[in-house]
Amino acid sequence: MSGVLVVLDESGRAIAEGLRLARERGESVTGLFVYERGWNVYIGHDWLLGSNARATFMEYIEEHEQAAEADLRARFLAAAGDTPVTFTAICCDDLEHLTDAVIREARESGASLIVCADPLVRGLSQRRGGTAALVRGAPCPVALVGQALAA
Amino acid sequence: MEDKGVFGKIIAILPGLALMVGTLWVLRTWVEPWMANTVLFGQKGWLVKVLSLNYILLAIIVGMLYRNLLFGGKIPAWAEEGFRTTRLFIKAGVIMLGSLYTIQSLAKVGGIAILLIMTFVFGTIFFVMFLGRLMGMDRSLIGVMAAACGVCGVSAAVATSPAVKAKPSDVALVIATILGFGIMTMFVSPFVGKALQMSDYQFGAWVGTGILNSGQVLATCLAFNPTIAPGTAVAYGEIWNVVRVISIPFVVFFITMWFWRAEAQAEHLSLAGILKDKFPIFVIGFFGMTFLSSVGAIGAEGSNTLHLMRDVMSWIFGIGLVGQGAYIDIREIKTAGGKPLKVGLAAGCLKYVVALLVVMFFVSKESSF
Repeated sequence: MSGVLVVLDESGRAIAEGLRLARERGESVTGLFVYERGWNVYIGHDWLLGSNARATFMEYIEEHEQAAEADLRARFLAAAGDTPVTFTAICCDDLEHLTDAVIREARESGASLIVCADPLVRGLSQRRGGTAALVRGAPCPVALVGQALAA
Repeated sequence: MEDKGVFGKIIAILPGLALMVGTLWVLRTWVEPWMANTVLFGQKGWLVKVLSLNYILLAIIVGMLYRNLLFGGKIPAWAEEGFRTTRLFIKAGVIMLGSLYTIQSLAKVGGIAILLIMTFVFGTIFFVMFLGRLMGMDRSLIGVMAAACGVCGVSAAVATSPAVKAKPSDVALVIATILGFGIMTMFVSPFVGKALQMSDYQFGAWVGTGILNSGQVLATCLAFNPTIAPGTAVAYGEIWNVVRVISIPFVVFFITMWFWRAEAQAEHLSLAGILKDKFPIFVIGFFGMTFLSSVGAIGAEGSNTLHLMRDVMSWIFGIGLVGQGAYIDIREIKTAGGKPLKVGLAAGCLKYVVALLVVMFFVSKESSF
């Protein structure tokens, strides 16, 4: 199944552009939310932290991720209006970068185009190479939606 | 996630652990003796005497090379479970370090350590709060940065962020900033200490106060003097470190009070609750070892038991520090920037330099125990 895969992030910049491109190409559109699971490795330097404090932090991050999913799902569906769209939430594993999971999903779903905000404001992606790895590894063209420049 | 069972988990740990142990064995058995005998620029052992390279610094450097060059920025799945045992090694080592002290010796340096640590912890926190507000930083970000710069880097940032509702992206930025600064000080401090002819006592007091991250204090002390025994840099530095670690719950409480005081929906705060949640239990193990040492339960100074225990500790720390290096991702650190970087660098440099001056002028070269 081919279609446009819109990577959802906190900036929300990719949503409108993804929907527009999908209408233009006459293709289906899927909003993709990826749960960040890299925190356990990222905070690997907290050697002397108590286990309770680490667990509390991981629960806190999980709450944030769930809230982000709910928020982005609502924003995506509201922006789509009457356009039929699909929303998918997936998890990257704790060794994957968030963009690796996007590439995996694009490959498995046979996406024809990925639309993604640049910079990608989700989880640890800004600390981990952002969209560069996505552009390098994507199985299909990637449309990056940057910040609008002031006139 | 797939449940591997106990046997499966042990098997999963082995490849990464074998790499860390093998690396340390090669460094200690072959590389360090080779460096000590190699003549460079007309001087035998130049690498050791001038660059202060020893197996500890090499362990961290090789760990960094694994992560950033060999593994291309990510620890591969086959090695990850093994490298994750780093935390266990460091904690076990710190507990065993408790055997270097007696209750009497702790009483001698404990007062100075508590005074210095508390002055610098809260001095740094107030400085970050002042500078952060001056630069218009978000209050929750200020809170996390204050804890990270004031107490012990990543551990304090992780402990504080849920309490001040910090954005995860801000926490990641603070961690990148703190690690970048800490890595720089980890390599610079042994040179400075030797150039200024600091004693082990002064060096331990300085880095225990001035370096932001706990693991880096340990590594820096061992880089300055890899000997693990009473009266060495690591023995002094770790006292400072333990005092800092104990202060985490109090600092979290203080910063949380400061944060919620200005928020409309104040959360119910309790020091007892924060202590229960944030107190690092392994510290009790450290003091337990000190108690056993004080009552002579683990042998007198010079005994075979203590000799063996210190040898084991040097291996434990060495293995843990290979893992420490492998958790340093240069690309992640390079993304640090903006106001958090400016505030973090200003606070870190100020603490580092003022701690050096205080130690050089007010702490005697002679050790207290």
